[in-house]
Amino acid sequence: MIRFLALIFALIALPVTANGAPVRIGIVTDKATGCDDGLAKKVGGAAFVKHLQKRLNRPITLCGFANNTAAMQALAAGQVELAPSDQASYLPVRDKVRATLTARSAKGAGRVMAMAMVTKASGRTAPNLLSGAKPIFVSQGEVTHDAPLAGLRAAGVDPSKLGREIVAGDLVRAVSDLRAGKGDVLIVDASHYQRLCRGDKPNEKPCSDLKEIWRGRPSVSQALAVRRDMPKDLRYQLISLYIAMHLEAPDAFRFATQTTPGVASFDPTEAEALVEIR
Amino acid sequence: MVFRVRATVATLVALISVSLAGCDRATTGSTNANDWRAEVKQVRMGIAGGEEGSVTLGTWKQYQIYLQSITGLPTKLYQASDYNGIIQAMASGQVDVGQLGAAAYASLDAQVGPKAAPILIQRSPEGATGYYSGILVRADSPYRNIEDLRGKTIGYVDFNSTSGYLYPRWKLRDQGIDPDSFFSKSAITGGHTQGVLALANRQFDAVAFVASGGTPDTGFTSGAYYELSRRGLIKLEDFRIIWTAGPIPNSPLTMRTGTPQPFQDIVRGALAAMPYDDPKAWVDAGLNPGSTYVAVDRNAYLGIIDIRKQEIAQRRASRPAGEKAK
Repeated sequence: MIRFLALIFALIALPVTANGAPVRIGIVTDKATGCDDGLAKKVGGAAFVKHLQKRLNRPITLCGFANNTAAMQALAAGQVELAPSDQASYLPVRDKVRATLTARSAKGAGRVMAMAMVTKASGRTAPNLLSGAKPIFVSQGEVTHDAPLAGLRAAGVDPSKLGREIVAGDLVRAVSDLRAGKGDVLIVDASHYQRLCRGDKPNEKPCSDLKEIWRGRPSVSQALAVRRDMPKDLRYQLISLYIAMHLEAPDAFRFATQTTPGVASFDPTEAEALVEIR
Repeated sequence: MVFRVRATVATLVALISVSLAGCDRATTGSTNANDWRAEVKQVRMGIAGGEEGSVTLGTWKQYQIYLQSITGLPTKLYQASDYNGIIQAMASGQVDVGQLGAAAYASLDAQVGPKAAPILIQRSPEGATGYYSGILVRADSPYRNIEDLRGKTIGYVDFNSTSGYLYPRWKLRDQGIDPDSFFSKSAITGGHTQGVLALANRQFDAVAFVASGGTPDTGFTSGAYYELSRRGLIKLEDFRIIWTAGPIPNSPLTMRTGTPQPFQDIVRGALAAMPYDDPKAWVDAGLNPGSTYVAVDRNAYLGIIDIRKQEIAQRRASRPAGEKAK
């Protein structure tokens, strides 16, 4: 009988599988601190919790923090699964956490990928060697100029230390200016890069005399972060839910973006999107 | 005493039942358990062969490797010879995920409704989510604009092709041209690649074609016409684009909705994260660097769904009496 009872107690004591554990979402609020199942109602996040709970089929708990730094510390310590971050709060814990989602503004070009190209003969091999180099841009737009420059800034290039800008007016003139030595580095967005370097004929390599010394996107000032050891399944599920939240659950989306008005949607992001090299 | 022991045992058994029932709910409800893997067993992806030939296949092979590594499941590619093949494969549940043109999705939607849903579309680096339909002629022909093609022959890609059939015909009507009487003869070529090659072989005076990776202002970089040139099968300068229309909502990656929700979300999340998590695989797949995937839903295709209905109504109306509807 004692053995039987011991078996029964052992069975009762079996832990609930980790898969059924709540997903704890960190938010910055002055209404409460810590994880609290009642927090969703207090902060108007009921629709958000309901949406995630339904789709993940797991309990969702909101956890309140006074600021991003406290949220990032809790994320690094494994006390929440997802939390908001900015550059200052991210850097101290970047070995344990990673950016995974960022908000995309309804206005503006977003995080346009860009490339920096030099002639192979220039001897420049990295963006940190661009000091004093005269940049050539295709045109003076947000996509063709501002976003690529912001990307370079994130890669550690101080725009004030570049030489005088050349705005060529079109792609053909821009690359011709680079080859003619009128400027030192061609800075183009990915669409222009594609048109310039893809080639239309077999084995055609229109950029074979050029060297790409950088490609990247502007950094972000804020992101949602997760632990680097988060199971892939859960990270991809969260990405899926967030990127489609504006379509699938507008009320949840309004809550998720209430501190950053003007957001059109969420985008996935690379792990180090919050990092700016200085 | 015996009664007490029995009562205690009964209580404990009841407790266990409650506890295990709770565990069972937790497991069943758990999205991260491998239950969905046991149910799905393999990822089946469908490709429409007529789209862009080897480029499309190369893209999907990269997806295959990537999704296999994410899901841990065998990931298989099923290639259909035309649009209808992939539509039917999705409609019948033989594939779980496929890339359909907007018109092909509209056709699938008409057949299975909410049993399939668009999940992702490509966005260009500058934020565009559409592409173009064009009419291509030989450069050595006298045709310079659409009016020059009155009474000439045209090749369309496929009844289920957006850029190669549905959209240009709708746009021509919108411009006051009835494509059924304007051209002397029209025929289906079977694919974008086949269409351009048929024009090269002078089988038509003009063909409808897909133009992407740019705009009419910037010029285009993607589509069968450009891929054929890269493969050395045609020269771009031997042809001329005389008409374009668009933008058309990009081809959606579409999934069957009857599959387990975790499976759908993991596939959507993983593919959306691909250009950020594995940019090399993204570019190796033939996708433009800097382009990304964004979430999409049926609403983005309501316009195409409506155009398709109009096209079917037009075809029925112009069919000779007694001829059966296809």
